Amino acid sequence: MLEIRNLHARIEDKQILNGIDLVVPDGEVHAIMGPNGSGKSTLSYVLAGREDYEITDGDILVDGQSILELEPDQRATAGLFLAFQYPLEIPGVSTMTFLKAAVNAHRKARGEDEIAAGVFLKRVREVAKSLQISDEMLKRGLNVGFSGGEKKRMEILQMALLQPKLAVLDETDSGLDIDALRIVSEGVNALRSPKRSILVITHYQRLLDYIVPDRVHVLTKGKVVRSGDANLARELEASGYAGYGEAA
Amino acid sequence: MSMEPRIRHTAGEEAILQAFSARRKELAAYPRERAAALDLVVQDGLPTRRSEAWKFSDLRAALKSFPEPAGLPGAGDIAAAKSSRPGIDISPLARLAFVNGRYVPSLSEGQLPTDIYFRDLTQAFERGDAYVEAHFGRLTAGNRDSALALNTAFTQGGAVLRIAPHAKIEAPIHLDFRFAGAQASVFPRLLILVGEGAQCTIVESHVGPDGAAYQSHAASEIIVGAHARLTHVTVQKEGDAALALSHGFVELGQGSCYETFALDEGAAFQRRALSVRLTGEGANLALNGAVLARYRQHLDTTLQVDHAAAGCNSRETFKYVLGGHAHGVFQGKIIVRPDAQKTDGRMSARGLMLGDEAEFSAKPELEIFADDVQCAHGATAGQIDEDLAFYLRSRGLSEADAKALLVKAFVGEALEAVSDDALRGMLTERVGAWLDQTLADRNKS
Repeated sequence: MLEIRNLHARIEDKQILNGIDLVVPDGEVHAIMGPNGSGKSTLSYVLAGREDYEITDGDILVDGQSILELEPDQRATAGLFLAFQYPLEIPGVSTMTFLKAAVNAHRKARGEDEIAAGVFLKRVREVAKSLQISDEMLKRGLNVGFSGGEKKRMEILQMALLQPKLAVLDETDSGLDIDALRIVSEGVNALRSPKRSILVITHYQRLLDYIVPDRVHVLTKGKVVRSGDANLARELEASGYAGYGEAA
Repeated sequence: MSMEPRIRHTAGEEAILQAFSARRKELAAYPRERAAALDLVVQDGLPTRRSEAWKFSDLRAALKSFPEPAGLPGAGDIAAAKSSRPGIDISPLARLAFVNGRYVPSLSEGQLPTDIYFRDLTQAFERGDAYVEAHFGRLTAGNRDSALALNTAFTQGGAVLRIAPHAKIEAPIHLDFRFAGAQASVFPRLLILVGEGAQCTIVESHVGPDGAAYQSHAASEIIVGAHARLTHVTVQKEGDAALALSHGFVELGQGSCYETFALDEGAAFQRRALSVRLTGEGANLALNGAVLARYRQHLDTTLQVDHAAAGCNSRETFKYVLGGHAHGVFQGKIIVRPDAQKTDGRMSARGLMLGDEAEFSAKPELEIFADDVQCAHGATAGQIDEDLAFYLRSRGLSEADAKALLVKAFVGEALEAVSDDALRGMLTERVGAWLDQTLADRNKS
């Protein structure tokens, strides 16, 4: 379960989050929608522990424990996963090497031995197949030469391997064509579980046709201004964000 | 006849001249070459930053003294060399061991097939080996560089390696150079001839003990015949107080292919000069390397790629990882001669700075005299990318592990050019070991 309490954050002198309150119970999928500049991506980075942001007030709790004092890697091994809006390219590190390092970092944090090569390979291939990620892509440098859609599928592959308690998907639909959107959404839906909270951050309602949320929250000027069920997303699609003091 | 010096000699230069006078009798082979080389040292003295090729490495200032040239290695030297570990974990066809520049059969392993001719270079010259007479000093001739001349003036021993035309040698030949002793100067010299249509792989390693202020003045001439293919990996892990200079000259024949990778991690002061001349049409050159430097190491790579024939390709990628107060130097020049139309040449050097005190000097140059060519070069320096580090940390990697992986990735990009899996694996291991130690040292301080 994720609880965000009165969260205020700024970068340099710019205040971006102005008191967010939000609870995502276990097993639920919540969506955060909002216009550009409303603080959506800042929220995802602040959750993941990016150092450029300063938390000026409030708290973030995962399963009742504050994570504010945790380093980004400690948050990850505590069960938080951020699917990046723009996954980064790392030439010189093969995707497989990276995936194995990530899985083993999680195992180490749990006091487990490194994963056996055969078991790992089988598991990666299984998930990769469902996301239509080829062996050739797994051998390449991480995200190097991947299309936007391939990068997003790779993020979901990582999420599937790391099995987080809490997943934050930052604009996972941006840059996806309709086929890629379907594959990615199916990947996310397969990971819905009674023990997992998922927070989907998006500008558009489109993604929420595929990943149907339990709750939708509207974020403007760094605050949640309205919450509702999945119908709120459709309403926004029709009316735009104009009614929330923002240009559409 | 010696000419008058144009300069006032330093103590180091005086010591060189005295050492030569004292050994005039034993330095009997290559009399013409030695006399010319010594004249150059007398006249020019050692190179300084006034010479473009030495712009960032002042040898005259660095070479304050000149230890006595090492003689034939004694039993003690051989025993000491035997216990040193070069850390080259490969399965060679043969390992040919050299101590202080001299071939030592008792330290060597493996049997060479009949299509490989291998001899002590000086002995082969003295016995009138026609190949040695024809090629010794051919590629080095005309280079007015007194540092190269030091090797020519003093070299004894060394090796000639000749691969018969059309021989296909699968497993690598390991030329294993070790230094033994405390203070001495050594002058390794190689002459390598890869016959027409032949294929082979050579791994060359240079290691020595830490704490010994020795000097290695190495030179090699490599001739790759028409349609031949040579893969050549060099690892330099001289001792931490050593001064190591090497001069490599390579000539590539028609349709030949030379793939080389240099990993430089040792010595207090190093300069690797490599000059490749593409003299036959359609020759291919892949010249890559990684330089790993820390503490106060000064490691210089100076390349010259000379396109003298049409339709040749050259690719050079060098990666520098610089920690502590290290100074990495990259100088690279691509020359395209008037007849070398359809040349495709690309050179890049990148520095990754692990701290604020390290320094990277890069000077890429193009000299193009043909009109239908494609050439590019670039050099950059930067620190570890914090965005990339955050991405890795968000997947659970600790800050140290994330940074280590990014440095490995940085060097890994250059290692991708090594096509042999076993050799790339050996180099990757060395890079990993260097990095683990460097990061551990950093955490201690």
